[in-house]
This record gives sequence, C-alpha cells and structure tokens, in this order.
Amino acid sequence: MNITVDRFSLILAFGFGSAAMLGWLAAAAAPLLIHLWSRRRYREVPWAAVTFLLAALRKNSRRIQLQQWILLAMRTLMVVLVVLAIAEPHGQNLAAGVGDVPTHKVIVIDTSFSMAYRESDASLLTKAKQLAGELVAQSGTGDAYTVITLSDRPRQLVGRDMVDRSSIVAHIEAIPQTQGGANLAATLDAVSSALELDAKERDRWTRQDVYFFSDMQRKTWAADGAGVRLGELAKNASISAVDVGAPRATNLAVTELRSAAPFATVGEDVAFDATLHEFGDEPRKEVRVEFLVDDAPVGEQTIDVPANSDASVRFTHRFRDAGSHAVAVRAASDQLEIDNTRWLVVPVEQQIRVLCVAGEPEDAKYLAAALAPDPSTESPIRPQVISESELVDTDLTGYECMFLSNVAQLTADETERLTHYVDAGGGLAIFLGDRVQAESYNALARGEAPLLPARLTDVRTEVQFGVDPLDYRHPIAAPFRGRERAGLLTTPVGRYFRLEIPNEHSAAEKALALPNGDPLVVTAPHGRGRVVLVATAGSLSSVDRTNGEPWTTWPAWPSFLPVVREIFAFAVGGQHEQWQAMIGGPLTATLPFDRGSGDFELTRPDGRKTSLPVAVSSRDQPWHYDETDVTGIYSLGRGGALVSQFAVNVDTHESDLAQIDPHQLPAEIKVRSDWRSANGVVASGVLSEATWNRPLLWAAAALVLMELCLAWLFGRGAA
Amino acid sequence: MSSAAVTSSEFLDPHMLAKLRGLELRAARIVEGYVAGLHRSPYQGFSNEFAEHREYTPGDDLRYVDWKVFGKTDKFYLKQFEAETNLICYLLLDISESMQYQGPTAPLSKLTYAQCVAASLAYLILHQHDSVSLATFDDDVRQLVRPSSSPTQLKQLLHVMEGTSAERKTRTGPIFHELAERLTRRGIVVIVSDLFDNPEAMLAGLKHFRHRRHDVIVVHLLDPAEIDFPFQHVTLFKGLEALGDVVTEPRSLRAAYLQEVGAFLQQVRTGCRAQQIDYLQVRTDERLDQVLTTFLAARARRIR
Repeated sequence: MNITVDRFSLILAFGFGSAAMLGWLAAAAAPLLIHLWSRRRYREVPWAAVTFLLAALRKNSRRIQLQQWILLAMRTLMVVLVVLAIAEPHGQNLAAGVGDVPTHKVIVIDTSFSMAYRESDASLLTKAKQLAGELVAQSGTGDAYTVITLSDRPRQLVGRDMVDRSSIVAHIEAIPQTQGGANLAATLDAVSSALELDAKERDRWTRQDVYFFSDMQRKTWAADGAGVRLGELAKNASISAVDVGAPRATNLAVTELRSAAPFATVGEDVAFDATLHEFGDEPRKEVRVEFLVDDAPVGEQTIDVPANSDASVRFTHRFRDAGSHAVAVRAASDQLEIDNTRWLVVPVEQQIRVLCVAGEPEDAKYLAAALAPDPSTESPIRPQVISESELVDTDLTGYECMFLSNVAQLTADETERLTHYVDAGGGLAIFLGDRVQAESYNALARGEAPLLPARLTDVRTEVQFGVDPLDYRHPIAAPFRGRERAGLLTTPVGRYFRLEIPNEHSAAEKALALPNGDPLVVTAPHGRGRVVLVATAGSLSSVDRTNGEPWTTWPAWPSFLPVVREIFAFAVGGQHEQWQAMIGGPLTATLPFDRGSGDFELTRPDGRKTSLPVAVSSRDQPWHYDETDVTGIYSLGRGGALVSQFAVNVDTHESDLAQIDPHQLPAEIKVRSDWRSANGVVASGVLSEATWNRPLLWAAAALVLMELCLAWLFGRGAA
Repeated sequence: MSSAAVTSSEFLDPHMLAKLRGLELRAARIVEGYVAGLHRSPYQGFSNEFAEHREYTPGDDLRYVDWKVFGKTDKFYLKQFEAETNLICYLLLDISESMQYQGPTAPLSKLTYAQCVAASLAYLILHQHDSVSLATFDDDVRQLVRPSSSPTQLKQLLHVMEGTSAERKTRTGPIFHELAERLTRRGIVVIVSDLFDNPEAMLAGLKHFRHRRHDVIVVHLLDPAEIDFPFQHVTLFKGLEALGDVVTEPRSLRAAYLQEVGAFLQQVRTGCRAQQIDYLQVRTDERLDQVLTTFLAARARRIR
C-alpha cells in the first residue's frame, strides 16, 4: 500500500457543536436586503449637470455593477463565516496533529469478516488500513501509537514503545483479514488497558485519542453494554469512529446446513437442508446454489431469496462409503464471499450400532425390535443386546446410542464410562422398570453436571390411558402432530416412577407427560451427547408384584415403535455436532489409545499442517484444537489415514451488514460517514478533531479588511 | 452683522455678499471693495483732450496732477481728459434653469452670483462713463437693454436683472448668433453663464462675436458641487432643464463624472483660447475680484 496523501483530501468531514446556530445563516441575506433597501431610500437633489452624469453612468454602469456585486458577495461571506464560527464547526482531518500536543493514538481496526466486503476492487479492511496508515504517516513526530484489532480475539499489534512510523504503518498494512466476528467488549477491554498510562507517560502524552476504523455494523456496535463502555472510555480519551462501511450494502449468506436425518448410513438417501438468507431490502433472484460432497460438486439448484428473509434448498445424496464425509453448500458469489459457503461433516456408517443393556434378558427385546423390526433385512440400525453385567467390559466407542432397560443399578465405574460416553457425543436412553433401584439412579441426578435429567421419587400405580404430548413442542413428540390416531394419545401406563426435575437443571425438558401431569419422558443434553429418561418400562416383563400386571403394555401399543425411534433419533442427534464448530471455537475429539501408529496430524483448510503428539497414556485422550481461524474442513489424520474431519463455519450474525445509527452511540463518539474519492481510493471518516471557528473568524476579519480596502479602492477610482 | 463692521473688500467674498440684500448694494460693495484694494484708480480717462479738473483722491496717478493749479491754490487737482466714449460693454446673462442650481456648500446660486458679477461690472463701467448694455437669455433672448452711459442706466439694468426668473432651457449657440447679429457696434461682450449646452454650437456662437470684432470675455460659472461632486449616499438627481432623473450611488460614479466634466471644461477652454477669447472659470464660492480684474485688463487692452 503506497500512502500518498493529498492534503486537501485529508479533510474528510465536519460537524457543528451548535448546529442550531446555523439558523443565523439566514442573516447572510442581510447585506443584499440592505443594498436593496438603500436603493429605495435615497435623497433627492436638483442637478444641473445631468448630461455629464448620464454620460458617466452610460460608460461605467457595468463596472459599477460588478464592483457592487463583489462587495456584496464579500459582505455576505463575512456574515456566513461569522455564523459558521459561532456554530462551532469541528472537523477532523488526517493531517491534524502536526504541531499539536504529543498524543497517544489508539488505532483500532475492525478485522471481522464483514470487513472483507468488497466495494469496487478494495475490501473495507484495505480501506481501513489505508486510512489508518495515512493517520500515522501524517501525525506529529511526538505521537505514540497502539494498534489493536477489533475481532473475536482482539490483539495488540503495536505498542507505545514502537516509534518508527514506517514500521508501524507496515504493521498496519500486514493486518490480516479474519473470518471471525467482532468481540467489541473484549476489544474495549484491550483499548481500556492501552489507555492506562503511568505518571511519566501521562507527562509525555498529554492527550489520548482512540480511532475505530470499522464498518459500524449494528450487530457489533449495538451490543449490550457497548454504549456504556464507550462512554466510560470517552472520559479518558477523545473517541472517533471512522465509518468505512458501505451504506445500504446487501449480502447473501448460507446461514445453516444440516442433515435432515439424525444419522447417515451407506446406501441410504440422506437429505440436507440449507438455509440462505438475504441481508438486504432487495430480493435476490436466481441464486445458483451448489452442493458439494468431499469437494466434488454433486448437485445444483437455482432459487430466489426474498429480501430480508430465508430461503431453503434441499439436496439429497446417497453415500457409497462409510467414514467421515465433508458436505458443503455454496451460493453464487457476491461482494462478501466468506459466508457464501457452509460446511458440514457427516459421519457415514455402514450401520448404526446401538447397544441395548437389558436388566433381564427380555427387557430389551421390544426395544431391539423397535429399532430393527425385521432382522432378516439389512437394517441401517443394528441393535446389540447385552446384559447389565456385560456393560463393564464393553467398549462403548463403536456405538452411536445406548439404551438401558430396567438396569437395576449402575456402579461408579459404569457411571463414569456412561458419563464419558455421553460427554463425547453418545446418546443415552434409559427405560426404567421393576428392578430399578431409585437411589442408585438418583446418584446420577446429583452434582454439578448430573447425567440424569430428573430424580426418581416414588413408584406410582395409577392406570392411565393416554399421554399428554405437551403441544408436540419437543422433537420426540413433534412427528405425532396431526397424527392423533398413531396411538400416542391412548398409550396405557399403569405403573411408573414419578420423575422430579431438579430446579437447578434448567436444560432438562419434558417431552411427554401423563394425563395427571407427571413426566413420562424427560430429556437433557449432557456434554455433546443427549440423555433421555423414560419414567416407565420398555418391556412387558416389569410387573407390579401386588397384582402381577405389567407396568405398562406400551411395548405392545402401536405408538411404542415410533416413540422409540424418535427417542433414538433425538439421542443420537447430538452426534454430528462434535464434528461441527464455529470459527474460533475449539475442535475436540477423543483420540484412541494406540501407541504404535505415530503422531496425529491436523490439516487445516488453508493447507497448513499441525502435528499433534500422542500423550503417553494408557487411555483414550481427549484432544482439542483452538486455532480455528479459517473456515472449511479440518482433517485429522494419522499415518496418512483420515481419522475424522471437522467443519468450521462462520457465525452469520456477522453477515448482516446493516449499520448502526450513530445516534445510538454515546454523543462523545464521533461517527463520520462522509465519503470522498481521491485517486481512486475511497476514503472516509474524520480522524482527528480540529475546531475551525478560530480560522473562520480570522477569515471573516480578513474579509472585513479586504472589503474596506476594496470599497476604498473602488471609491478612490472615483477620485 | 452690519456692513459697516467689515471692511468693504470683504464683500468680494460671496459668503459675505450673500448676507446683503439688493443687487445695487451688492454691486456697490463689490466695486468699492475691489477699488479700495487697487493702487491705481480705475476712474480715469485715457484721452488726450483736456476736459476738466477734479480733486485728487488717493490712488490717482500723480502724472495727471496739475502742478500749476497746485502752485496757485496749494491744492491737488487732477487734469481730466475727455474720455473716448466709444467703449461699449455688452453683458450677456444666462438665466436658464440650470443657473438656479445652488450646491450644498455654495453661498449663492449661480444665477445670483452671475447677477452680482453683471451688476458690479455695470456699476464699474458706468462710473467710467462707458456705455453698458444687458441681454438676458435662455432659449431665447429675454431682455435686451440698449447700451447707454447715462447714470440712470444702472438702475434700469438692476431692475431688469432683479426681475428675471430662471425657468427655461439653454440654447447658447443660436442665441449667440442672434446677438452677434444684433449687437452691431464693437465692444466688449461679457458672457456670464454655466454654458451647460452643446459645446460645439456654443463655441460657434462665440466665434460669431469674434467675427464681429467684439472682445469676448466668457465668465464660466460653476457651482463647487458641480466640480467636486461631493455626494456620498444614494441620490436621486433631479435633472434641471427637463433632462430627466438619475438614481445612482455617487461615490462609485464620481471619477467618471469628474472626467466628463473635465473633458467639457477642457473643450470650452481650448475653444475659447483658439478664438482669443478671455475665458474665466469661476466657482460660485470664489471672490469676485478675479472677474473684475479680467474685465479691466480687457478694457485697457481695447483702449490702447
């Protein structure tokens, strides 16, 4: 970036301290009115030498008229200048500061991805850097600079100790475009600490200015508490915001991409729903949307996106191989491209393995049947039934979901393994029964992060026909909406544990309830997985010993199969989320303990590779990676083989380019949005405060003198 | 202030003169004041034929003292010679409307000043026993008093002058031609006017007088305001002699106006000089002795 500054182009904008005084500009008409009035008010004299007067008038009327206009213009200008001076104009220019008091200037440059918006050739960030560079290049020699980025993770790039202005400019020029959002609160913290000077520094820099170079996005600047924080900063420093944003900018973004099914298996059609949103007041017609699987385009559709609204598009794909697949939806490019593509990592299984732990051998029979109704055909779900005693020796990593049915109690080891399993994204559905020891379960409902969403209290025997779907709000109940004859509403439950949702467990949700209001199905997320607790039994083998009646005949009821499958779908729904992350968020996985195959290697979307040493441990290692600063697919491999993939997407909150109304900011913050074009480079904003009333008054005084001289000169021409 | 409290020469100042009423009184005071300042008496003949004796008065030329009579009577008597009475002075007085003008600083209007000039000349001439004639004109000859040297002539002239009213336009060229035809006897023609007329026509008229072998004295009267143009504020100049009105900002026009006036005066002055006409530009705030001096010089030239 070559910084060449036309000094006049540096005066970028101005405002008025007392704008109301501008009303007095009407007084500028006074000289004209006085002139006209004096023409009407004349004295009369008789005159003999009219011939000479007429001759003089004939020869000089043009000159006299011109002189009168010149004097009139000067008098009008005098009034205008005086009124402008009274209105306390203040402008800011890049050149200000030369010869001013030594100033500590904190330059904050917005690097959030909305700054990648391109207007003509240059992005907003390029403009911001250019203006900031000009500010540094044109400032006084005694000034000091701190350069901070406004981003998710604000960074201080230049400190006060750096004195070489060319290297400061070089640092500014080198600021990279990030793909994250803007964390204003954290940035203001950084600015606040940068403004803290010790006594010696305060003597050295008597003034502190903060300059924000930003596109002034409403989402960023209207954040809660931002106004208050800015107001506090303004007590210690003069704050200016240079608006480099494009007014009325529009943007199309892919805001969501998700799989319609909770899991994907080989050979099955999987639907993907993408949501596009137009952030702008004009609808976007015929947007070409591409669907890519593992970087290869496999589908394309053209849709219209209404103004300020969503539009959905569905793609269906049948995976041929098991493993981790990267799916992407890419909309046609616009001026802000980062948010036009959205990625999703889909683990495709040959079959979904479900572990059913049965307290008694019969207890998981109906569950397994519900999950895989016809064992003769190749079902995408493969349930495996084990007894509760086998649980402790079973490796849980291969299972997407676990069902516990009438398991009497859980040992501490089992509890830990289950917790770890759910934390890592596994689904856990628990059906109770006559063998269940409530106290053992309730141990799981205690603590800071309880595994169970509810406590078991007493066992109730109260034959009830029917289930309250609670307005079908929960995803488990939602598919039954409009299907009242599916049997859900008539499901018979005779005996059940009364579940009590602890008040502190805010994430727990009732999915279904009994007619008397007691919960029947309660769900809660835990870690990256989900837990579903059913108050009654999942088999007919749990019986009320007083009368020999089963707890419930629900397993034989038509609603049992769909409910179990919805519970399964819900429980494994958290599975995909571990492979998706927002930019800046951590990637986490559990690396299997396998000493022999060398280090893991993470390949980033930008091609950089990071080696991840394997910890010396006999157990599976939780792993996480924080440097997700680029969107796309992160591939974790070992020895050339792909272990898993992660999709990192932008936060589309940043996609809304609407700008904040400057009036919503504290009055001390001066937001300027004037645009000038100089040498093809669009510049905007006001960088340093300068009041102009004194120069204006001097100019007015000079005009008075000039007017007197000219009036004398014109009069003298007569002499 | 009574006229006795001031010396007679002060009445040459038009400011003082303005305080006097009556043209005759003004004329008498002007001439007396003027004469008192001269070393030589103007009341003397220049003929060789003895006429009578008269008593010496201070200022008389000692060459004409009759020493014989002094030896006999011990008294100074001057020998007076019979004057040639062929000197006729024609006073042409402009009484057009423009002569009415009196500027803000002028003590007298141009017409009043002109009347004073004409009256004092008549007074002086009649006291020298010369003949004087008077013509008043604007766009026509209004009054023409035939030349006479009788003592009653003064009264008549003053009466005519006091009865004038300035109301009409000037037309100097034709008038001068007409008068040049009518004034057949050679003499001194004194024109008292502001000459606000077409200068070519006017000069042609003057030339006619010279053709008739008259000596011509042009007393060009101008008001100080007409020369200095001292106006500052926007003014409506109401044209005299029906020349129309002009509204203007006089400061900006002053230079151009003065240039126009200067060019006019220069043209008149050059025209007069070319025809050997005595041209005298007089401001109405100037003392009147200049006019009388110019006249006497012309008269002396003629008698020699």
